Amino acid sequence: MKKLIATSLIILLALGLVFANGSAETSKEKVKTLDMFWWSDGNEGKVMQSLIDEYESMHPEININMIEIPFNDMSNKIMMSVAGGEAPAITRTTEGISNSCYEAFVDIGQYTDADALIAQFIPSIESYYVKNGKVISIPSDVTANGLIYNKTMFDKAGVEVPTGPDDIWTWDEFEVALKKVKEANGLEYAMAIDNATHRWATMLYEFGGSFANENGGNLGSPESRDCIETTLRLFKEKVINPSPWITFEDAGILFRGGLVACQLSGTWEMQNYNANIKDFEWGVTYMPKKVMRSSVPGGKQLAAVQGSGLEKEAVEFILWVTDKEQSKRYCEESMFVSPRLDCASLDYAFCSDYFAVFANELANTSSAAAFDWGYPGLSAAFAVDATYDWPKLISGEMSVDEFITKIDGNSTKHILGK
Amino acid sequence: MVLPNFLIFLVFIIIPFFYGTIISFADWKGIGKINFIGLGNYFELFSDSGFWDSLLRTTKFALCSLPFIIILPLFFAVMLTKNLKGKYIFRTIFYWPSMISYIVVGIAFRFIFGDSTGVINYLLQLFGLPKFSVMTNTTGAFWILILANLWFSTGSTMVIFMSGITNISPTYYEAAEVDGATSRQQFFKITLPLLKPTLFLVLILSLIGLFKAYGMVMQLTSGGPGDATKFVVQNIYDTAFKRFRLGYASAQSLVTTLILAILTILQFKANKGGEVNDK
Repeated sequence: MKKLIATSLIILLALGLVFANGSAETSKEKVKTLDMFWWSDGNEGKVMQSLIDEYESMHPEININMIEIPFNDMSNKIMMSVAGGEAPAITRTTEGISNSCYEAFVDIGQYTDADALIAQFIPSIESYYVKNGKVISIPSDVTANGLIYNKTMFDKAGVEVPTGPDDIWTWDEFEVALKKVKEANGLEYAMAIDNATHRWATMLYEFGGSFANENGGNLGSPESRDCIETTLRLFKEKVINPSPWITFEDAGILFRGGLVACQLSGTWEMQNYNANIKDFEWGVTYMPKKVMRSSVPGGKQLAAVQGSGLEKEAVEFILWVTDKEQSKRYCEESMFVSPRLDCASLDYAFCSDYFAVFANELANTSSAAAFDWGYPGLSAAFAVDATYDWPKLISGEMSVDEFITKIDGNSTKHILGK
Repeated sequence: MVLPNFLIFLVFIIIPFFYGTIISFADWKGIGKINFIGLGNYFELFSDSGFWDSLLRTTKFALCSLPFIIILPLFFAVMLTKNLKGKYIFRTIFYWPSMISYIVVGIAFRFIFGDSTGVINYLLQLFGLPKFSVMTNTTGAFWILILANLWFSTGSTMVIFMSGITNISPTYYEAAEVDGATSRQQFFKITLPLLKPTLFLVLILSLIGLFKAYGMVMQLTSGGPGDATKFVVQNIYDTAFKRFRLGYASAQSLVTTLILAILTILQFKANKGGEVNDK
């Protein structure tokens, strides 16, 4: 009898396991897992995860798996995954990453009305996500370059900053102000510029120059040359700290540490500075102009990757998460500017005035930025040259003419192939 | 035992090597169609001053580093295999940096020598002294890299030398002492000749390691100032993953491998494979 009970129990247990396994497998078969390459600069990963959770609850058959990748490895990782047949379904991207990987991205225009989609976003960033007539990604947020300053230091020097778009200072006035602030606060340098490419481009556009145009390299134009020579002079007169460009020291650390009075940076620093700067008052003001005002739009997009087998599901999620309500929530909670025209005014928990300044800078941006940052591979190639050659220019190892000839030559070769 | 090792060698060395060789004949950005261009990349390579400059810089870095990363660990190994008081503490102290990731070593040295945010300059400015701008000048940055690499590699090289020294039979030293040989004579007449296979191994491994220097360089100088510390591996990385020219980068890798192989064979011949001279 005991044997019979034991045998029955074993059979029941085995049957239970088989059915349990079977039902698990059935539900497993139903659930489609979409890998999503991601990196985080601030809290946006958490905000995106909460949106994913909401999407998954609406679509029980979808499971989105966020995989954190270091930002510097993103292009590399996307290329290797695609080449190795392990493409993620979705990836976060920037214009730089897209310029190198766009051939691997799905044309979202095949799944929705492309014109209607493009019409929802601010026009200045169109070249970032539309390549050769294909919508290769959808913008999730935009960034803008601008001027962050140490209010305490400027007040001590008695220097007033522009109060509105009708009160923009010139580069000459700005230079006088910087020298005054430097002297009043006993600083070695007054200003830091994050890098020699994306951030310096703001200044280049304000001088009326650009990296390149459809005819090739454009650093040799009188406007670009004027900007190069002015930047060089400001380094030599110890107005701008050259360390971030020579030894790649973090300009943000120089600003936070009170070693410089202002920083040419952008919107992405707001969350960080709001949380971490306690020793002085800081603010955001308008960039000076030379021949015009400018910022450099940047930002992130979401792309569906070819070869995952889940292209349709990936596009559906991207369209949902970049739609008005989700975009509003994502940008407000992550402290980003929304790329959507119907989300121009957002309620941020802090720094709302600063975001208004950045938005105004963005609205006054040079059209040259769209070519420089939208032309496939141009900004990446320019960045390599500028990063290595600006220190040579600063140290006198290279002349302005040599600098221009070399970089313009490479840009022309890149654009015209000769 | 041989098969698993062979499989690992096949999957991680031989197949990528042949794949890289094939790609080196193509114009390919990593995604999309592979466009074969014959010897085009190699023709371009021979007139690419950027590549040859980086190779020359790497050779200079290797030649300047090599004497230090051989002599200092050898000195420590000789001292710490003697009956000195506290030798175990010193062994631990000297070996410690080798246990740290080279990325962390790069960050630490940057934290010490940084131009505006470095500890040394902070202290100098605190006492009203002029700045020590070592990282902003090309020679300074180059020697800081050599110093960081020496600090990092001394411990592990010292252990290899110590193992070589302890394998030398004490009877040689006993006989030398009976004959009245000084410590200096014992070192040059016994230790050094019998340590030749170990020395040869360290020489080859160090040379290859120096030619492959990348992680620490990226953290400490990022190839700067300018391209003063941009070595060959970084140049290849920039070509592949910043300019997205994987075919051309493969050609650069292949030529670098070939040069390293020739150097190793020459060393092997010159040292007779590290054979101990019995005469």
